[in-house]
Order: sequence, then structure tokens, then C-alpha cells
Amino acid sequence: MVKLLTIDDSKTIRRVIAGIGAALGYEVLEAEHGAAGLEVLEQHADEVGLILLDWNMPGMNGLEVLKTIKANQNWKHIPVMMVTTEGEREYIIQAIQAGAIHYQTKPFTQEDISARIMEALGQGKGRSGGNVA
Amino acid sequence: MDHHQDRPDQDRLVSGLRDATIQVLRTMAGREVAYVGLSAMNQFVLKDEACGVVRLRGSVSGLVAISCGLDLAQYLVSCIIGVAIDEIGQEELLDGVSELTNMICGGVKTHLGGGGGVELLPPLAVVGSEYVAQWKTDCDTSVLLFRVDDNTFRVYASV
Repeated sequence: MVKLLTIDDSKTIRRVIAGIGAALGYEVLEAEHGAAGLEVLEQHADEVGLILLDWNMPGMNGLEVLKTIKANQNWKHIPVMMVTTEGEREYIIQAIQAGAIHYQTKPFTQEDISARIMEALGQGKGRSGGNVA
Repeated sequence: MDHHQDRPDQDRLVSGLRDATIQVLRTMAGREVAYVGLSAMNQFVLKDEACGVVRLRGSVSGLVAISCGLDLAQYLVSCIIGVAIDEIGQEELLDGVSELTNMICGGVKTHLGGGGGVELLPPLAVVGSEYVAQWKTDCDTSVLLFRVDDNTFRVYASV
């Protein structure tokens, strides 16, 4: 079963994403900052089919987390979608160049995130060996 | 040099705050929001039961804050998370108010543009009663008033 991983220092956003993921039939793993997210990946890399990543967090920022993920041979295939308040062009370009597949600004609707998740998991289907709900 | 020349266009700031507040409350909380109008204060004082504050640094510097009554704050956070109001404890409330502030300020930052020249510092949230918070500044404070259902929601900007 494919799982989603949300890395965001806001519990509110993690709960919103967990709710959307659950509505789509996915279990959602949560981490409140970048280092915690990488620890979750260490344990669940084979199960995680999509990472939803905030930009501004204590410690490593989202771009640093993204670059760390994409530099790791075991994790670099996992699609990463940025979910952030940073909506400026420079941020979007940096994230896409670093390997993010989508860039979703906050605020967002449930439909926004649902569509992005479905699209991302469609792209990632088959690589993780899990089932897409 | 005239100090006022360093300040951003107030009209752009106010329009950015107005649009961002309406968009955030509509999109995340699903609430209809009406912009009531703008007033100005010669001081920056917060005393509503729920408020969130973000410091702006860089090409635009100053403080932006949101504030409202406790009931409205609980209601908005419950709408965002999708749970009943009585399930909203202090932790959820503080985090929810922080995130609302963060999203509104993020919208304003995007609206102002500036090629990454504005940095938002992490939000501060305050929930409780019988306090008065003051920020010492020589800038006037713009206060945007909104109606959310029958409640008042305020956004402050001093930059």
C-alpha cells in the first residue's frame, strides 16, 4: 500500500493533508520538520509514494530537504511536491530545478491537493512496487 | 532623506492583505468573507483573544498581524481541519492561528513581489484574554476590517 509523507511544521496543514489523503484511501505519514521527515524516509522508503514538502520550517528548509532526497540513491525516485506559502517565481524555479514534480502554494483547496496527489502517484506507479489506491 | 520614501506603496500592501485574507479564509476555511474597510492607528496594539504576528524583513520590513475573538478563531480552525469546534484545543488553536497568519503573509509577500527580497520570520500566535500586546514603531498601522459570518476579523500592517 502506497503511503504519503507530509513534512510540514504546521500541525494544521499536516492534518488537512492527512484528511485529504485518507479520503483518497492513502495512509499519510507525518513529520514536523525536515530532519524528522528524513528519519521517516529511512524507515518507510519502500512504502512512500509521494512526499508533500513545506518550504519554511525550523532547521533544514524544504529546498535543502528536497536536495537531500534527490541526492540519495534510495529516495531519489520518490516524487516530491512542494506545498508552501512561498509563491514567488524564484522559489518555484529552484524547487523544480531541484527535482520537485509539482509546486502547490497555500492556501489550497481539497480539490487542488487531491488532483496533484492522483497525478503524482500516477506518474510514480510501479516504481515503488506498491498498490495505488 | 525622507523616511517615507523607504516605505512600500501602502495601496499595494493593503490590496495584497485584503486579497490574501479573503482568499485564505475562503479557500482553507470555506467561509464567506466581506471586506468592511480600512482604518489607521498611530500605534500597534493587539488585544483580541486570538492573534498571530509575522515579522517582515528585507526590502519590506515591519509587522503584519491578524486578530479576532476566540470563538471565531476556534470556528475557523475547526473548518480548516474539518473537526468539531469542541475538538479544537489550545495546541490546535495556536497552530491554526499561526498557519492562518503565515498563509496571509505569504500571499502578501507574493503580491509585493520583489524578487525574493522579503523574508517572513516564523509566526507568533497568542491565544488568551486580558493581555495587551504593543509593538513600538514610528510607522502608522493600517487596520483592515473584515466580517466573517457575524464576527469581526482584523488584519494589521505596520511597515
